[in-house]
Amino acid sequence: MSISTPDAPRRSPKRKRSESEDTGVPPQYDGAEDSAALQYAYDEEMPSELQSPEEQEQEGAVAKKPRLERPRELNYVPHMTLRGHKRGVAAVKYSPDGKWIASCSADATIKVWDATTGALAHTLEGHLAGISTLAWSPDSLVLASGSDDKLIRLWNISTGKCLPSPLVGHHNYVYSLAFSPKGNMIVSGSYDEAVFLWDVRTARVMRSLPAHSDPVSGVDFVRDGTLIASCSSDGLIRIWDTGTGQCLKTLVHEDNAPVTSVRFSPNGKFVLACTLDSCVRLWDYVDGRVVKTYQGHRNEKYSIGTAFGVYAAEQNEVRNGDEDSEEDQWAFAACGSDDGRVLLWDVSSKEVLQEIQGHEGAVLGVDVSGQTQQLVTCGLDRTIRVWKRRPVVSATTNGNGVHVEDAADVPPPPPPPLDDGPSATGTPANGTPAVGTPIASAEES
Amino acid sequence: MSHSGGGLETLRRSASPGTLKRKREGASSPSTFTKATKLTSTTSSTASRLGANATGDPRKHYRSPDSDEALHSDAGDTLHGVGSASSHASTASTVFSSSSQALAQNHKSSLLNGLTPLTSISDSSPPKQRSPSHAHFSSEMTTVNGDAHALTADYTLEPPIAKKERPQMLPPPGKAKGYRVVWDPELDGKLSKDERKRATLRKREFGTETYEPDPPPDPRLAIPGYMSGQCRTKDRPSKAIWRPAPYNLPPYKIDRYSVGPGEAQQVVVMGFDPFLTDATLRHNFSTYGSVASVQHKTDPDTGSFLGIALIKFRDGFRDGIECSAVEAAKRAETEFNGSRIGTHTIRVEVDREGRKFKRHFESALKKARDERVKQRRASIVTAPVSKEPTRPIKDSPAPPLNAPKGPSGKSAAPAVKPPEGPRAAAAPLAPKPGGPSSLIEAEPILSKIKRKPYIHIPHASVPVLGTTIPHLKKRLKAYDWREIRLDKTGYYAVFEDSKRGEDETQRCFDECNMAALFTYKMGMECQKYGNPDYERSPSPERVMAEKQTRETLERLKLEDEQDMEIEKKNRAANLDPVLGALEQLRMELRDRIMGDIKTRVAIPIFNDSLDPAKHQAKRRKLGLPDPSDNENKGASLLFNKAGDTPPHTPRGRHGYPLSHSKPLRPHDPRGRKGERERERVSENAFVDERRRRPAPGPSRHVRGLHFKLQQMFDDEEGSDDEGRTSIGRDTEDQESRPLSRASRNSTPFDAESVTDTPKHKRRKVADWEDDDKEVFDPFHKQLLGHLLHKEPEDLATRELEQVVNTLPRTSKYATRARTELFIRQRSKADDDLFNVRSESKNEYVASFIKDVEMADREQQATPTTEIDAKAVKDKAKRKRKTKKQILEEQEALKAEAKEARAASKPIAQETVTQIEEKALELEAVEELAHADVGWAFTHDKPRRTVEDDRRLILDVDGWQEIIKDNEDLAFARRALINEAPYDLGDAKLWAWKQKEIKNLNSGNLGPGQSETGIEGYYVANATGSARTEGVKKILNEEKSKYLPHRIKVQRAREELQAQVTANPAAAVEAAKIAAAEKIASTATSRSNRVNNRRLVNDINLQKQTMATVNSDADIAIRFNQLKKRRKLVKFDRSAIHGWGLYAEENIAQNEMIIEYVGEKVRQKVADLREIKYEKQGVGSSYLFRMLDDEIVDATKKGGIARFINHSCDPVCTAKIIKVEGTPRIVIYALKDIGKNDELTYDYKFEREYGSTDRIPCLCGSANCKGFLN
Repeated sequence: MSISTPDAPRRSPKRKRSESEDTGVPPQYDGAEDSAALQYAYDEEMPSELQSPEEQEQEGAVAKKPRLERPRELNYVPHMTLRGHKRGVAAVKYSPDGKWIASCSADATIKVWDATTGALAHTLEGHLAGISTLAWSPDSLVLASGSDDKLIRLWNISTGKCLPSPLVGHHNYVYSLAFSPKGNMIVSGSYDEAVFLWDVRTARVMRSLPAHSDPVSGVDFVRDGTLIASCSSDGLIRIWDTGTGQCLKTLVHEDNAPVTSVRFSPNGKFVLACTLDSCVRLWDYVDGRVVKTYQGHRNEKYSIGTAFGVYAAEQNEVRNGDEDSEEDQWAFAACGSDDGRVLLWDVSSKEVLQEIQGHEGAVLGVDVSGQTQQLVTCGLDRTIRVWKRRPVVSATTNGNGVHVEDAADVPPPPPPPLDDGPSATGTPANGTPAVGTPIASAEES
Repeated sequence: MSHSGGGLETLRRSASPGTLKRKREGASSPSTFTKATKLTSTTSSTASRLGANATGDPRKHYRSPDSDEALHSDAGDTLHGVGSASSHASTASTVFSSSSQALAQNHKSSLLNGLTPLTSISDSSPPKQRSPSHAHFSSEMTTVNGDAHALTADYTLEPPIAKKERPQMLPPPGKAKGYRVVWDPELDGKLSKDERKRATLRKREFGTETYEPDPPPDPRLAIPGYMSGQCRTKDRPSKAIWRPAPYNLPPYKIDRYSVGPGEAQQVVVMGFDPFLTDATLRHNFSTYGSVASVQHKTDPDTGSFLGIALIKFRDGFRDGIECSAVEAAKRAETEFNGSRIGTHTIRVEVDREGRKFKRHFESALKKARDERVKQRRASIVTAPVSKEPTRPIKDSPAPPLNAPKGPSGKSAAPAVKPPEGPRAAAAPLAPKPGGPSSLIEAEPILSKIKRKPYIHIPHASVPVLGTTIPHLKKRLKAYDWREIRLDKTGYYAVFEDSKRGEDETQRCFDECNMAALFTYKMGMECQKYGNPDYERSPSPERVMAEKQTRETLERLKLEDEQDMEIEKKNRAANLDPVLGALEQLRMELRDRIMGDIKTRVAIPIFNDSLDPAKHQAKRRKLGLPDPSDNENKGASLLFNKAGDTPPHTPRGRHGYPLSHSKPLRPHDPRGRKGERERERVSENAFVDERRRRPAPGPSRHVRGLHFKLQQMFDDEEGSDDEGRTSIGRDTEDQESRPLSRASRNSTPFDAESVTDTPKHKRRKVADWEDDDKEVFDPFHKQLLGHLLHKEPEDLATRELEQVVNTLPRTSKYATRARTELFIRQRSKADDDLFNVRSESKNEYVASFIKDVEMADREQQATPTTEIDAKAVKDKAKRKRKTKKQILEEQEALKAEAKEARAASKPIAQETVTQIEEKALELEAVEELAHADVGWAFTHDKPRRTVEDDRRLILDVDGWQEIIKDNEDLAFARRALINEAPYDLGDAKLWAWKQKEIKNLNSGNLGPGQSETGIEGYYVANATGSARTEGVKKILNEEKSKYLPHRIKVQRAREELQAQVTANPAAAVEAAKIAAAEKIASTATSRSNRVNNRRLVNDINLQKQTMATVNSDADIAIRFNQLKKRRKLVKFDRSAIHGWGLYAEENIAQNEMIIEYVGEKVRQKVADLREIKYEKQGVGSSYLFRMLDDEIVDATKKGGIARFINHSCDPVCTAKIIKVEGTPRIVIYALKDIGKNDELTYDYKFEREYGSTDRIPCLCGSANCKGFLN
């Protein structure tokens, strides 16, 4: 639910195609819209004219129409590093209103940070064991966290207090959580192989969906809350009807690799799933087939979160309300890697848009802010890093001189934020050394 | 003008040639048209506004170019006009009738092209102006059609009328709207001219029929597979929406979680012969399950059966197999519906809530009533005719012609045949036309009379003749009989079954006995109470119940016999007669000896020891009064105490509510439960305890709000009054507080036992006490007036003494006072005994301090500083004595704590103490004044002042509890001097957070005795949380520690094991069960055979019928054969491995359960596949070897039989059988399998001893081999 524009990857294929004919750029197909193209996009016997982004790249560089040209790469640079957790950070999430970043850690605390300044707003303590997952309520007022102590706790963000009744019922570690879009239900997956559907108000289990035979590593609600996706280390992804508790679909890949996270696409038509064979797959869950497979990262051990984001040709574009903003936006998928990288793929072309380096150790969580073009990641190195998008500068494009001429248009990098900014506001009450340390973009290269 | 464009378009389109149909419609359109406008003008204001705007002067529009043209054509060229005008009208009308939204637009356009506005704006502008043009229009319409329609003609002629009331152009429904020419001679080329002239138009009216169009079919349904959600083909993905719901979702199954009435357990049966007995019905339906009840409805008016029955099933055993009522009902419906009972085809319907039954019953009843009404009408018609002639007969003295003749008259008059015809037929109460002889009932009536009073006239006195009945009736008409019947034994006059009936019977008997009836004497026999021999036939329920009990009895008997047999066998097997005899002897001996010991030894001693004389000394020592005095008073004493002690005792100012172990707590008699709640609510550190609490009266909860208000104001005055009640009393009185905890605890009347009495009980007692208020002597009142309105418990000791001395012994008040006094003495004695046995001086000081403290605590008055100071000094003195000990204790605790915490939280441990130190430095002084530490001197050896609770968990609260003062703190500090402090930032915040966390997780504040932790199975992750840990393979053993269904199975298994080991008798029990099962199974095997035979017949029948149809039938049957016999099974999570298959019905031994279906592959393929599956991580093997080179692979394609798990003690077996030449794997039951039992069979893997990849077996059976292979 972190992406606010629900139909982000949509753009008119018709127009796009005619456009590309004019410019001589081979047509591009984006996954969300054109299912006919999608079908080919994955298979081996893909027609050559629909073929790979790598080939397109050279041609695309020659003739380009700046407004509609899809950027070939993104440039996210470090913006802030939030330190304070004492152990690995398991998950990080932007609040739906974009104001906060919540992170949960194996040190049994949740920290809530100001998304803009990086100041620590709250440290929520109350769990007795490490916290694996968390979820924001759609109104950004309540945070749910699932811990190894088998409880799911709800936190009031304005007071920083735990709501009195935790959700008790799991028999082992709570492993994954999701709030329903209306905020009245929580779905949770646990090590006890059960998926529980909770009524938030009464703090009771409404329904238990017992159909996995290994820890349930990921759960998600579709955007209207009628479907639930769950995935498990047994290699299954199941789509459930929220109302009846029926399993509507089971998605299994041939290899049966453990699935470690699952997420509905913002338009609710696809499911993005991470598997431990170092693949991220986009499933058309209606047909039950894989539409895209994203590769390039390494994921063999950790249960890593994924995120969808949108990007536009120019980073400072007005995104909402502008009628053609939708057309100039493309979707990307983000996923961490066991080796500390974060990879961003274009959803439709599968090309890697950026490999973000920075974390040491596995990156466990990634989230994209819908409002600002920011990315937040967290990992085993106990840090949370916020990344900000910058225009692609030739210096930072590693040997890929595609956008050299862009360099001229690039606005000068904004002055590095004042040192006292975040630290002044960010000094937490109890003096723990949790301060957002912003890093100027120049440092990165 | 975009409107005009649209308007033109419609114009053009409609004016195009070839729209014959539309033209025809035009004929009828004007009417609909106006109607439409009328409608819309009211609904869409915009349209009318537009009209108003556009037609400021409507004539102006006639000038607009295209409208001009149209007008001209209207005027001139009729032929042209036909097209334009009519089509206009038609379009307009169609549009209007279609939707109001489109209408607005059309409105505009029509306004602009100048033709239609004539009608369409008729509402927005005065009709006067409109009417001519309207008329013009309509007249034109009529001319167009060539039909001078009368209606329109009228209309043109009388515009004023039309003005007054709205023209109703549409003829009333049912009237023809117009004619359609079917055949026009003018157009028939075949006719000659003359013929044409002669011939007339053939026309057909239309509009008379009311036209109700069928709803158009849903076009989506044309898509193949739309309902099933499979409308999307792989090769041609369309945009058709995939709908998972609701079309292809199966309906909700009713299971044990569902609410509301369950599935139908009863069926309605209709159409059978109404005279069928219940028993027959029951018999018929008991083939489907055990019938709980048969409700055969009778007509409440006539009592005749209606032929509708409701049959209720119940869960039970049929052929030894458990058969649920639901299933039985279902089966009865499916199998019995349409079949016959006797000659009647019956209808069986499942009826969930009896509604169908009711409905059918009502309809049948109605029908019956109608019929009866009809009959009655018919009879009424005939009745007057018949009644008239009978009258005179009655009055005539001579016996009528058809009167029976007595024996005397027999010879005199020959038997005259009763006249036929109206009279005979008219006898109203002899409806049967078969003649008088038919009135003689075949069966003996006596048996049917039951309890009704009756009079019997035996055939000996009056001969049995059907014709006599009417005469008899007349003879007895003075009496209120119900019916007169006749059988071979004689006549029966049956009376009403009531007291009145009985009286009537008696009267009749008295007056008519031996009276004459014609020539006979009616020798009567009166039975006021019905048939003396009648025995009430048991009700069907009772019959059933009896039958059941008999059955159960028989079964039990059978079981017992079986048991006995088994027992006998067992005994015979292992009984040594000699040993047995010895055992018997030993038992007898023991009993004897025990009895002797009891009677001869124990009882005398006991009696002896109970002698009150022996306890004189002891009693005196304890100050107990003589037993004779104290009798009868114990109870009231107890209750008094319960009621009279205060609900809320003041606490130390710094006391934590739960910070003290039991013995230190002040006495609080208000029950543990209620007290804790109240404390939580009223726990307010800032309330000044010196303030008087509003007395919570015992009946407070029922008093209205106004009472509280009142209480708020006259708190002071009211309290005096309230002081009389048990609870509200003045807390400021000296020594009013209940005695100190030590004293109370040592009283013989244990506080616990008192408080344990249930609340309501106590309440009752309290009420009773109020009633029992004592009336005191005036003398005593004068003496003790100020005391008497207080409870004795509230009085000071000296006052108590005074009371006891003054009041007579019989006074209850005095008794209470005495008890109270006694208690206080006791407590004081106890104090002396345990605490303050010291030098007189010290004793004095101690008691003084104690008093002061007590006063201090109770009154909570302004602190008396000097005394305090003194007390502190004394405390210090006392402290020195125990210092050493405390040090030791402290050290021990530290060490203990360190050990405990070393493993988990080494760093936090120090921090805890650190915090303690800091926090306690601040609070040390306050801690000193801690209310619950009582100080005293010891003289013999040092004692601990504070008993440390070693069970306390040493978290922040625990430490705060243990370290009580500076001294403790110093020791603690010294103990931890070697530990490096840990930086926590703000220690107070940290401590507060720790407490918060603890509170959140354990729900209590303050030190506790149990660690707040994670309940149940918990293994900490090395990295802290599950997600940071990464994905690991979880072993099955580990899973079975936390997966709920496994835990359940495990527990059940353990329990069973424990039972067997603990109780060898269970083995006998088990044998019993086994025996019962054996009986059941024998019964089922027979029914099995029957079923099988039936099945074979079925198949053969099917074969015959299908063989004629096509040759594929054979295959179909082969499938059916196995399918039909399969049992109901389901798969669910299994404790053995992954999934398992469970029986959903009872399965008898040797019954086929299910076929193992899958792809049949060769050995080589199977090997390859196995490798592939292994690589893919398919955790289970679904390959089944059938023959040497035939393996059934159910991994990807196969039936649910693949879920059956292995067990070393299986309940099933897999057999390879040949069905029509092809081998099939079929699972058969090895044993009788109960519902919900897991099905297992032995996989029979080849043994691979010593192999590295042996598959461990988790079947859990007693003879488990440990491995599958």
